[in-house]
Parts: sequence; structure tokens; C-alpha cells
Amino acid sequence: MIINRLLIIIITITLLACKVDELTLDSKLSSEVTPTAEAGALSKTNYKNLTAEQQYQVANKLAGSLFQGVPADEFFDFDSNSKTLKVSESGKNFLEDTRAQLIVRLDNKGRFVNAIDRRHSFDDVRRPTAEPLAAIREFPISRDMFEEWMAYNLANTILFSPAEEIESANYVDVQRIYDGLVKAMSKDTSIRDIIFAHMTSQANWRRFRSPEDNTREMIEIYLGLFDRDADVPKASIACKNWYLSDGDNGYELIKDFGEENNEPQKVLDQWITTCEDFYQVVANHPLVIPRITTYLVDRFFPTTSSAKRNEIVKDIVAQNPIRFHDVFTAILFSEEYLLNNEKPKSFEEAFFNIAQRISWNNTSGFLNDLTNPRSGSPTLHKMKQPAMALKLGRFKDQPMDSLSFAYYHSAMRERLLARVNNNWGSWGDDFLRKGDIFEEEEYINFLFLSVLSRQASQVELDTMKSVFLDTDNEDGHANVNALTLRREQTRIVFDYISQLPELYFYPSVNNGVNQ
Amino acid sequence: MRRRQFIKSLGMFGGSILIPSMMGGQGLISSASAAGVSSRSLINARAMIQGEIDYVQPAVMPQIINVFLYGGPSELAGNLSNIDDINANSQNPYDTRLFEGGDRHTLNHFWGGGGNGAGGEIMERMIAKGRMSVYRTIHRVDDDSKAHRPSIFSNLTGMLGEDDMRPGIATNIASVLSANNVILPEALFPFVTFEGESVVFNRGSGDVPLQLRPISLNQNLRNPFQRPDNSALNSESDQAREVIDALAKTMQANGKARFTKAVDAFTKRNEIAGFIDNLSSKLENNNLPLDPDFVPPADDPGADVPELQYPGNGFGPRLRAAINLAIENPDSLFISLGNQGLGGWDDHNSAQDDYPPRMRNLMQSLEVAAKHLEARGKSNVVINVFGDFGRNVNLNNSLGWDHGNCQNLFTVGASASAGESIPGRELGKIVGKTYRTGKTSENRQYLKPTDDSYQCEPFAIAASIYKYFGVQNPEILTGGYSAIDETGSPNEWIDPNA
Repeated sequence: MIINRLLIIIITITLLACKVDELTLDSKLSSEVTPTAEAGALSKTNYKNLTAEQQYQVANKLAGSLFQGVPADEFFDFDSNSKTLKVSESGKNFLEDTRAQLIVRLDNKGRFVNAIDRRHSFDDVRRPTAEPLAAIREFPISRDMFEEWMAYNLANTILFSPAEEIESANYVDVQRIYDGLVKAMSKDTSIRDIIFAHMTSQANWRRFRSPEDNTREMIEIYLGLFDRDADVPKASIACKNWYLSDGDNGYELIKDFGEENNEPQKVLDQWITTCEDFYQVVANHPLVIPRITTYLVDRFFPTTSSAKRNEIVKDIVAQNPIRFHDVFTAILFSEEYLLNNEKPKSFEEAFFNIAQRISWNNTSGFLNDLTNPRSGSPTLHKMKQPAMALKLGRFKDQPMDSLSFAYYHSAMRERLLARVNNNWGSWGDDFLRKGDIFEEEEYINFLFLSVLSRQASQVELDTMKSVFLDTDNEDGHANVNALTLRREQTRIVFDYISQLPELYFYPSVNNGVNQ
Repeated sequence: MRRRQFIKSLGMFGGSILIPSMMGGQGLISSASAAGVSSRSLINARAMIQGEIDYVQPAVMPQIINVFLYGGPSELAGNLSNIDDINANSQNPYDTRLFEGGDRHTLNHFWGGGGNGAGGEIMERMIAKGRMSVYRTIHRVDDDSKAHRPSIFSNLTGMLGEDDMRPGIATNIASVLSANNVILPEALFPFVTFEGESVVFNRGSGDVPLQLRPISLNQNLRNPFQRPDNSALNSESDQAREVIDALAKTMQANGKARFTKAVDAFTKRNEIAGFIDNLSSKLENNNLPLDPDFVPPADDPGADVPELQYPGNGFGPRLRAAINLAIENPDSLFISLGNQGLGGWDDHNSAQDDYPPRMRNLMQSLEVAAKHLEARGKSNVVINVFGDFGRNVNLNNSLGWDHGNCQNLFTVGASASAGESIPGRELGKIVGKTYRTGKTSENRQYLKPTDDSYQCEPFAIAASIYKYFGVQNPEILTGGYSAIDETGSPNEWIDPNA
């Protein structure tokens, strides 16, 4: 009896302890915005009610959006005897685990920074455009990774682009803007304060280079107002003593305090005198949060109707988001995004997601090459989405014109999947070995799951098997070992997959691929 | 019926069949029928279109090369007629050599300066030879926006509006030509872009048949469309590759509605790959024509006539590719060039340093292009050069120009020696007179047409293009804006030989 009571006490204490931990985690989570309507999060129940394949699609939609990937053998329990797919425990808890990880710092970040140094080499000058991708690739899902990812996304938009392509900007500006964003977000700096700091920076003036240009663009970019032409000259009077020196003098931002304006100007219905006054008005304007939210929602939901997007924006804004973390999290974990949204994948979303899933290892020069405008490889420039270079930020959609797409496809097929050209890296035997437990059909399905998050259709299975038979019977092939055979079969399946449009899109999980 | 109502009325048949209902000859009506639209409605749609747009197939089918200068190019290279007054009122001074009488101010008020100028001497030559006209008063009055995005949208769609889904100029041309069965099914790549996606090819809310969708090419005619072999698929009979490809094609067709752009790209890949290979090998074996303007130096009267040479950077390679394409593939009716990666024209700072070399490069490239067309007898090719808007003429404190209004249109082509040109087209002119407006030492000072000057809205450029292709009432497509009056507008050109 006493032992029973002790046991009960021990169990109770243990349970209470768990509850406290959960409460701590919950209280951290509860400081995030939690939309409840159109932007409401995909609930645990609704996630678990999806089929195993659909859960995996959702997991990789989320992971892929973060440039990460969830390997099939980690998500499914392939060791079970079940003929149907069985989701592992980590797969079942993927959404809430990921959400929790995004607010927890790495306690051994230095080790991952070492990994960046050891696994990647960069051109000294162009380093700032490649290194962020290395950080995102090497850091596990964590607050640190999320901050790098958010900064990379933001610096590729009109909101914060360093505009490296223009004469007055350079890679130093890329570094400053990117690092500035990461640092600010690490301190939980508000969206408004980040915007204010950016507007007053030299990097911003190197992009928008005169009082009239700068004030006009700040009103358009951060407030979404394109018809305030009457305000612009007055705002430019307030900023008349700020200007950019010429190239010979290093494109420096000059603030001539001897020429500071002292005549009040009415701009955006407020009286201002100096340039800082103007930036304060913009940063504190009621339109900032709706505008930022709208812009980011438009990027993540490019094919969704404007009515629906407006509802999503309204729901997020109603929660009074303060930080970029709040807005991004609300978008990424929303049911609308994870289940219904369809959009072209950016190159990073597609490539890095699959790379992780098929244990693709990069050469040290991979990211340097990917971001090199002069490389002969299918670079981000050739796909019309250079990193942090475009003055007005990247297109909202991955460009799918024939030329840009040809490079995108070439990168996916030749550098990632079918191993035709390999100066970026390759998947290897460690990935193939994961398929040792499978018979031929199961192995084909494993490959499909690993890349497309679905199993092969019967037609696809039959076709792959017939092609295997055909190539296996070629001279020489009958004598190769099992691993080599698997390697060649993998290259065949992946070559085929590289030609499927669904590889380049996130289809709606609810609708399926071929509907 | 105003154009907006016209397009809206077509929309009642469903966005997905808006353009197909105009594509009478393309077999798409059946797919529209499958969408459940009554045949009466479809007949009405076709009747409306054919009733509204007065089309006559032109005797000379044009080929348009559209060079859009993103960022809004200053008009000063093409119009220094007010420079003395501009300088007197500017916050910061201009180079004195630009003033009237200075050695960078040409007879017809272009920004000269030879190897240090903005191409003014080239402009003088091109006008004198009948290879270019300059319209100095492309002047936005209606809904005058100085923001990039609305200006780009309206200038490349040829109409006002806030709807991002409105079709681009090239899409409208595709619609009209297809509805009138002018584009043959076997025509190869009638719409091409060297700048990737562009608003000029906006599809609008409808669909455009695959044949009429633009393909994008690299200016060096690189061929990423080729697919290197996968050794895992090597077999003597090539059957494995064919089997895989055939299945992939089937799956692509199944996903067509949802993944249109990727499907298009896959579908056209082989065709484009072959086309580029063919074109590249033709060009390898073709030298550029000899320079028709070459005058041997006095000390070497027997000097060989050199071949034309495009500038090796900037606009040179891109224009070379576009001209070669137009010559070798007469099916290419609309070719789009932008300046992405070639330096924007948004010269808010250091303008006197940055703008002239860019302009000079553009003019050098255009002059070679015109001579190239002339040598090949391509009198039907029209090269139009314009941008978002013109700029302020005050030099701001960053020594640049902010957004203005009045801009130039440079329209270029082969001189009359190349043969019968497009009816109504006239080269060798300078049109428009301007004056400076705005307060002394304030930033917002810009050029406006004088009261007695010819002027037109930017949408007149689109209307002119539609007219070249045979649309008699282009106002239908531009919301009321007519084509440029090329033959009736007064010519301000001063003949140096007069």
C-alpha cells in the first residue's frame, strides 16, 4: 500500500513536471500570433486525419518552404510489416515539433558554423550571397536557422533587397542588410523598428538614391500607396539634405546638417520637418503591418484568389503581429498554406528539399557556383532569380518562361537527380542503402516518395520495371553488382521524375496531383 | 462599346476561354464548349470580336522588336533643345559643353560628344539617312503616374487600368492575328523574348494557344534546352529513353491545367532545342553584311569595306540576336528586349556620368541593327525604343534626375533603300517641341510639349503597332488612343545640307 502510494506520488510528480515543461513551451508558443479564421493553423487533428502520403506531403511542403527536407525513412516506419505506409512517431508530431524548434536556439551553434567553413568555399567578394544558403543548409531546424531563412527571404524582396545589380550597390551592402536583419530578428526587434533602421541606412540610399526617389519608394514599398504623388515633393523637401555622393566618392550617404530643412511639410497627413521625421511617420504608419502582411501573403499564395488572400491577411493582421517571425509562422503553419495552396516552387525550395531527402552531398564549390553570375552552370542568375541582387526584389513567382525553366530543369535533372553532370555534388551509396530492405516495386515507390512525396502509379511502376528489364539485359549489366544496378535504376527513375511538372510545384494536398 | 466593356463582356464566357474564344482558327472553341459555354454565346463572342475589330491583313507583315528601357530613360540625349533654360533653373549645374553651341550639342539638339557623349552624332546620322525617327513628346496626361509599376504595366499593355491581368500588347496581336487566321499553324515561334517574362506578353485572364505563347531565348543563343544523355538509359535501340519520355509526356498532359507553364516549357523544349541549333549553325556560316556607309580614308582609298560590327557589350549582343532572329525566322513577329542586367535607366544619381555611355551603346547598337536590316532588305522590321516615362530635368542633389513625364520614342528601321516598307510608316523625322516647366531650384522641373507641338500618349505606340499588323481601329484595343500620326506630324528636323 505504501509502495502504491509512493508510486502514485512519483507518477503524479512526473506528470506534473511534464505539464510544467509543456506549459513553458506553450507559453512561449502562445506569445506567437494564432490566427483562427482563414489563416488558422492546421490542427493536429486535421493533420492526423490525412492519409500517410498526405501527411508526408504536408511535412515536406513545410520543410521545403524552409529549404529543408524530411527523408522518407525518417517519416515513415518502413520496418513495420504493414503493407500500407505507416507514419513514424516523429512523422506524426512533425508539425508541432517543427513549430517548437523554430523558437529554440541552437546551444552548439559554433559546431555548425565550423561545418559551413569545412564544407563550403566561397569567393571572397561574392561570399555574402552564398553564405546565407550555407547557413540555412547546415543549421538544423531552429530559431537560428529560421532567422537566416527569414532574412534571406526578406532580402530577396522589394522590402529589403540590397540591389547588388545596380552600380551604386555592392556585396558589402548585401552583407550589411542581411546581417542587420538576422541580428535584429535575434533580438526580437519589431517589424517597424527594422523598417526604420533600414530606411535610414546607407544601403537603402544606395538603392533609392535621391530625396524624391527615396521618399517615393518608401511610401510605395512600406505603405503600398502608389497614388501619393502630391506627398513626394514635400517629403523630398524634408529629406533635401540627404544625398548620395557619386561613384568617385564611393556612393556614400551624406547628411548635410547645415542644410537641414526647417520648414514644416505635411506628408501623409502629418507634419514633418526632417528626414528622420518622415521615416518615423512611415515606420509608425497604420498601413505598415497590413502592407507587409499583404506582401508576404501574396508571395506565398501567388495562385490563390485575391479575395481569399485578403481574408488571410485580415486574419493575420487581426492578431496584431509585431515581429516578422509572427507573420512568417502564421503563413507557413496555416491550413490554407499547407493543404490548399498551390504554387511553383522556388529553386531553393525544390532543390534543397530534395537534396536533404536523398542524402545529396555538395562539393565545396556548389553554392559559390550557384550564385556566380559568370558561371556556365544553371545558376540563380540564369533562372532569373539571383540572390539579393535585383533592385525591385525577385519576382513573386519562380519564373517559368522557357529559358529560365530550361535552366531550372537542367539543375534539377543533371546536378541533383540523374547525376549527368556533377560539379555540384551527388547522392551516393548511403541513400541507396536505405533501399536495401525493399524489393523492386517497393524500391521504386521509395524513390517516388523520396522525391515527389507520393508512390508511383501502376503505369509508372510497370514502365519503370520494363525499362529496368531492358537496361538490365544490356551487355555488361547482367554482371554488375546489386548496388551498381540500384544506382542505375535510381538514375532512371529520377530522370523520369525530373520531367514531371509536379516536381516544380506544390500541388494542393487536398486535390492530389493529377486532378 | 468601350474596350473595357468589350473585354468584360467576353469575360462572361468564363476567364479560361476569354482568349480562346477569340482564337477562331485554333480549334479551341471545342474546349470552350467542353467548359459548358453555350454555342450561342461562343458564336456571339466571335461575332462581337469580328464586328468590333476592323481588320485588314497588311500588304507588308511587320516584325516588331520592342526595346523597353526599364526605369524610365531621360529624354535629354534625344532632346537638348531646352538645355540652356534647364541649366539656368537647375539645383545643380550641367556640363557647359551641353549648352547650345557647345561641342556636345548637335545641330538637331542631340546629346553628342563622340566617344564621350550620349550618341547624338549617331542620332543625327540615322535621321539623315532615314533610318530613325524621334518623337520627343510622348507625353502622359491621363492618369499621370510617376511610379514604375503602373507605368510599365500601362505602356506594355497599351492601356490604362489597375487590373494586373490585362493582356499585353503582344498577346493582343496574337489574339487578333489568330482570330483572322493570319498565323499559320506551322509558324515557328511568332513571339520571342530575350528578357524572360515581360508584361508585354501578359496573358490576361484568358488562355493563349501554345503556339502563340512566347519562348525565351538567350542573347548568345545558348542552348540549355538540350538534354545531355543519361548513361543509365543508354541502349542500342534508344528504347528506354523513348519509353521514359513518352510516359513523362503523358503525365505532363494530365497535369496541364494546373502546371501550365512547366508543361509548356517541356512541350516546346525539343522544338526550341532544334530551332536554336539550326539558327546557330546558319549564323555561324553567315558573316554580317558590309558597312554601307563606309567611306575609305583619304590616305587609303582602296581600303576594304569592313563588316558591320555590333558593340560587344550592353545592347549589342541582344540586338544582334534579335535582328538575326527576325531575318532568319520571318515567323517571329514580335521580339521583346528589355534592359534587365544591362543597367536600369532609373538615373536618380550621378546621371551625367552613368547615362551617356549607356545611351551611346544603345545608339551604336541601333545604328548597326538598321544597317543590318537594310543590307538584308528587311524593310518590314520595326524597332521601337521607349520606357516607363521621361525624367525631371532638374539635376537633384545626388546629381541625378527623378521621375518625370515627357519621354522620347526612338523608332528605327531600314531606310527606304531596303524596299517597300509598312504603309503609313515614316522615318527620318524629329517630331515634337518642348519647354521646361517647374519652379527654379525646385526638383520637380520637367519638359512638356509646347502648345503648338504634336504630342501623344504612350499608348499611341501600342496603337501604332496594332495598326501595322492590320487593325484599322486600334482605339478598340487601347481604350480610345489612336496611333501616332507618322506622316502628318510636323517634321522639326534641320537638314545639315540645307
